[in-house]
Amino acid sequence: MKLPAATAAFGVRTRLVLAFLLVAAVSAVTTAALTYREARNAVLERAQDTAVASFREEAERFVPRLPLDREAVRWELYDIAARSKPHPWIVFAEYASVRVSSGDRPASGVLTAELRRSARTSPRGAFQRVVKDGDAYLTIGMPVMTRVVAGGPAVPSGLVLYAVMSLVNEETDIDALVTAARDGALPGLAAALVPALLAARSVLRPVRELRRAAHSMGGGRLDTRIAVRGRDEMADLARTFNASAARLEHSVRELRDAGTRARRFASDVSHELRTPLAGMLAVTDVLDEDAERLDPDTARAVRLISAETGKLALLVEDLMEMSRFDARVAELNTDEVDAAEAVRRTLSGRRWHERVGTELPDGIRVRLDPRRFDVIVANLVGNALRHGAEPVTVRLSRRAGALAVEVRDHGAGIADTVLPHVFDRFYKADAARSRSPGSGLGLAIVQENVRLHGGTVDARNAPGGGALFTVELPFDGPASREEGSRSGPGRTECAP
Amino acid sequence: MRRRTGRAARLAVLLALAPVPLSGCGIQETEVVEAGRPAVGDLLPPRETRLLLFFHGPDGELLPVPRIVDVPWHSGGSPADGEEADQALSPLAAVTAQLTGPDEDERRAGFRNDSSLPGTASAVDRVVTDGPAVEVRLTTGVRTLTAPARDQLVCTAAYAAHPKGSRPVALAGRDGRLPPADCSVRPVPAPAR
Repeated sequence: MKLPAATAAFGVRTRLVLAFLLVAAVSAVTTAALTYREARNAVLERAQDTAVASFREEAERFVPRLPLDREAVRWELYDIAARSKPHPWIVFAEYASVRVSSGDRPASGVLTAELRRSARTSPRGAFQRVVKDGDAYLTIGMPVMTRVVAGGPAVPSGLVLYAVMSLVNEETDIDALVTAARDGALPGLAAALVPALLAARSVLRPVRELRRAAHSMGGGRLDTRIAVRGRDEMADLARTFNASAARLEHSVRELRDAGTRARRFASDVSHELRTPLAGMLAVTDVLDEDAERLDPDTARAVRLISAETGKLALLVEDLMEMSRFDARVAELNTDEVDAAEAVRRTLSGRRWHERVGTELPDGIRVRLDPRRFDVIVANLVGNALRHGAEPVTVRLSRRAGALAVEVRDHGAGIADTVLPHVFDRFYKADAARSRSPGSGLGLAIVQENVRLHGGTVDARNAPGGGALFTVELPFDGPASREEGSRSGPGRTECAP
Repeated sequence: MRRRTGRAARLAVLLALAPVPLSGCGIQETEVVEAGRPAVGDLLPPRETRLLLFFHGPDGELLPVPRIVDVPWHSGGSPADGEEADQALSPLAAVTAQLTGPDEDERRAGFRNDSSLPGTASAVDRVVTDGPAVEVRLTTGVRTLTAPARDQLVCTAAYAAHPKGSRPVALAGRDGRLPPADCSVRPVPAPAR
């Protein structure tokens, strides 16, 4: 027997590996994302704080004479721009309607209206990050307040200085962070594969063992046990399996013993009955012969006893035959015969050759047990004559490497409810008619004999009415392989 | 079947959530963020060589505009300390200059007087500084002055009479006297942070 393949598309291994990878991916991505965010904010905050502080410092160093003289202020702005920190910035000055810058344009397109409003209305420095055309800028608004007396309080002067600083360097740094996070996460994912595969292995190995053991038990080796390793759930499962296997083995052994005892009892009973029956048969034969000389009532009783005794002897014979099958001691005594000749002999031996139509092509030679073949044909024909209606026909044919024997009657056929049970022992097709001329074992014996030859027997209703029994005996069955073998195929494994 | 769709739905949610931590890469725009104190410097030129006038900017805001004046130099070569009577820096000179209006540079920078102010320097009669409030007496009416115009006069007179501008100013004219008012541009301690 072959173990079924265990390659499901979403097997435990795949699922475990996927789960591991998912967990690893989630944690790696989360960690990377959080780290990235913190680092990015730190980079940006440092740049912003430095820029704002140094811009304020530079703006305070430069306090222009008011109102502004454009040319003079421009030079001052160049001066502030030259001291940019951390990156070069462009300085814009707005005072009333005066617009001056250290760049080539007096007003900036990057500064937003919100920053302007904030710088004009609130006496506080402010910054805003702006992304324009894909480039990030830091814009700083720095209102200038002037002290009306040295070291004293101050009034808003109306002058606002703006700085626009490119964040290209920070962008580069941050992009490097993304690259680093990705380069760190991918090897992490690859590394997660190793524990995933190990975990899958540690789970799958006991499962595979369990599967093998279950399969082995299914094959009849009930003494199969699993090695218990460790103290985890898998070990629990193995222990449970072992305990169940032990209980199962015990139950099966008990059942088998009981069956054996029952079979031996049946065999013993029939054996014990045979001897007294033989005696009774001898006596009833004598009584039968003398019946004509007895008065009619007694004669009828004597004939009844004689007939019933004969049937009882038949039944006992059949029972013994069955018990031999059950005990697996039935043997094939094979011989090469002509199938048509064998059937003809069976029919004429029972004086049925006039009642039964035949279709027996000559020249089909087959190796089989002649006695058992005789029983098969006789039981089938006898059954057809008893339960079906004439005409009964027997037909022989070759059929795909097998000899086919078809026995057909033209009675009412077999009821559908009965059909599955026709080969059961003592099965009564008609419950009301408990007394049947047969032993009730005929078809069961047919089936056992056919099986012994490695063949099949099949009962069905023929098209056109009547029951049709078909026996197929293979030409290369056990009868041809093992001359005079002890028993049929597949019988050794469960022999007691 | 139901379980299948449930599993598919969970998978879909997971896949949809997965890129969430990844979003927000690069540099994001921000709102305006306040970042500490403004730049604070001394108002130049120093008080000894300037008049502090108050003009309206292009957006109507009232701004202090210093203007250098030629101060007579004394024998020591330094400006006369504490000489309040100095004609060139007196409150009268300041108010006169204020009524004369912005000079060429100041006009080019966008400064202007309120239109309700009398446009002639002779409109100011005198400025009295020895009372509890500085009194600015005009030869014209004062009730016709708009609030921005009054503000300009009040602030100019207050800062001319006091370094920090913390004196109330009463405007008076042909048509009476307005109650004393304070300049709306008050110096505040420079924010430390």
